[in-house]
Amino acid sequence: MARIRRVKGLSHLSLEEVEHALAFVQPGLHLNETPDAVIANGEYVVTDGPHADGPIKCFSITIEFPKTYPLDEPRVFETDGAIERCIDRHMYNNGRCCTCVWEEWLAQAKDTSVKSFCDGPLRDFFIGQVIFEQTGQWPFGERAHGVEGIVEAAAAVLEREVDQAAALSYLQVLSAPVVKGHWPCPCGSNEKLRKCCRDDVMLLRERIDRIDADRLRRKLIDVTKLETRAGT
Amino acid sequence: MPYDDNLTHESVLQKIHEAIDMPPDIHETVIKKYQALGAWLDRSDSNIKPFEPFVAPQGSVLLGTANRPVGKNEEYDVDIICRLLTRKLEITQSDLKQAVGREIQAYASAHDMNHEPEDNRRCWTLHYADDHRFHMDILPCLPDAERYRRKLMESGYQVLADNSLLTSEAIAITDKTHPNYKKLSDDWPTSNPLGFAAWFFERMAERVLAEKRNLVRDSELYDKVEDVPNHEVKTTLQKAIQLLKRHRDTMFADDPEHKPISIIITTLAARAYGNEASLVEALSIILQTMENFIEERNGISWVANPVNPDENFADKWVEVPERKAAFERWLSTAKRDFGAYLRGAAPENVPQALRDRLGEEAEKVIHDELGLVAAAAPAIISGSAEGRAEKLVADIQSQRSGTKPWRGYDE
Repeated sequence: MARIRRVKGLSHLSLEEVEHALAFVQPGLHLNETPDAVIANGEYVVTDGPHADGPIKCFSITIEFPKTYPLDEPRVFETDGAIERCIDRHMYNNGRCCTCVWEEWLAQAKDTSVKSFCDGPLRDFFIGQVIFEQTGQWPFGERAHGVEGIVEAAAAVLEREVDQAAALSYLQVLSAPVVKGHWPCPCGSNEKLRKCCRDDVMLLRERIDRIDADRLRRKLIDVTKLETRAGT
Repeated sequence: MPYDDNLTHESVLQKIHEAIDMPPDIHETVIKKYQALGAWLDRSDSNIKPFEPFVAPQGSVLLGTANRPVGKNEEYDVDIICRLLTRKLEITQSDLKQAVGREIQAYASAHDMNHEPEDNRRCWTLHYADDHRFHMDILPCLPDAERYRRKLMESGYQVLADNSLLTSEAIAITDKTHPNYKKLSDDWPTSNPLGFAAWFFERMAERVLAEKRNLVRDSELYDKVEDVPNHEVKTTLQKAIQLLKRHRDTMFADDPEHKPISIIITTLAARAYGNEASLVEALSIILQTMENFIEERNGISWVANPVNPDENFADKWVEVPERKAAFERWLSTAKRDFGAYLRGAAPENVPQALRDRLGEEAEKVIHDELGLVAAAAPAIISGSAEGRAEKLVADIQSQRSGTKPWRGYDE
């Protein structure tokens, strides 16, 4: 499988890469650069290509692509108040758009370039908003809020049903540099790994990048802490 | 105000293309003029008659990508080759250049041309009377396919060397700045404009054939496809290149020194082209992917001549980095200008930036024929939006599973 490898500390996003990804498809977004980020700002079009009626809809947005992209997630803001800032619209109060579980996308996407993000999660989010406005439904589904959504994301990456504890166990085993047979099996059987799902785990380790698993694991831990602190 | 219910982005771009295209009557004049010159060079008391002079167009006239010049005082720039049947070791570059030059000078005086032909670095420039509005750059040369193929083989391009369509018309040319200009030598500058044209037509062969079929079907002029000459049809690749060249010409009107050269735009566009039937699709794919065909060779940007990959059309970018920057600036601007129209506007709302950069004739078409108004703002939402958004979702789902939004904790 062709994957764009992500090596920590080496990624350094350039303005040119963002320009290449956006100039034709999102000509209303204009770019500038800060020491830490490439910022795209302006009008975002939702369109199916040239059409007698013009684009389907336009949103005013800002995207901050950190220079450390894709290690760090781009932050997308709707700046005009056109989308209600509430949990059901997957919006934060400050206008930030909750496009996806970033770590899930990184683990699943074959290509994690800026272009792929724009053609994927970014596009899906705004089409989703247009459809939601019309029908009250998310066309591609949605993740539950908070920890539950991360567990769903982990289940999708692992391709099996897991609860929070099992998700964490699997992700721990998948993010370890080496796996020891005497570890408890992540499936929750209380058996040692070598006597239980060893082959299955080794296949998972082949399929899922260790760095991706580790990022999802840390996300799960971080969001769990936040949720506990928020007292929900 | 004229208004066309069937107006589409495609029909508007096609109309603009028609307005900037070299008109058929000029094309005919050009053909007559270079044929007349060919006949003159081959007349019985021509000094070069023994060398069986052969003239043929090259460059944009041959490729079918010639535009009307921008600005009232500008002229069409017509490039032709003048090939003599002789060998490099029998004549110097300088003697070949002068032998052709004497006959061109004689032609100019026999036809009462106001300006003396100009002796330039590689070619002779013949200025026609003002009402023709063109000049002809005549490139003296001799056949050089053998050495051209040998060099390709030495560089490891065996398949290309064996392709006679792309290599048999290679030529040796003269260059005043070449160290062997005045010496008898086997080492001359080489070129292969007809090979390049053969490659270019190969890239769009499917569309050329389709357009020729349409012409046979729709007109009484030709009975069969094989009878239709290439210059009678025009593909979406040629039209897209013409629109891009016009955009470049206006963008660099005040900075000709850094203007991206046509051969780079033509080569990259032809590589990106996938024989799209519509101009809109051809332009979209070309603009989005043409830069992927710029190679990096040892840290140098390389736009390989498709019929001689060791030749870099972008070689000047090394000495003058501003040229590379200018190309990138142009491409970004073209993407944004065409993108703003094709993705961000209804067909009647050609954005002002694009109108400005497609030049006067295009503006006239938009204004007079189509009666369009400049885009104040793209349409916000339309009646058909619901169905369109749903179709978009279906298209995405046919390729991949869409992304699910997720909200965490407030920042």
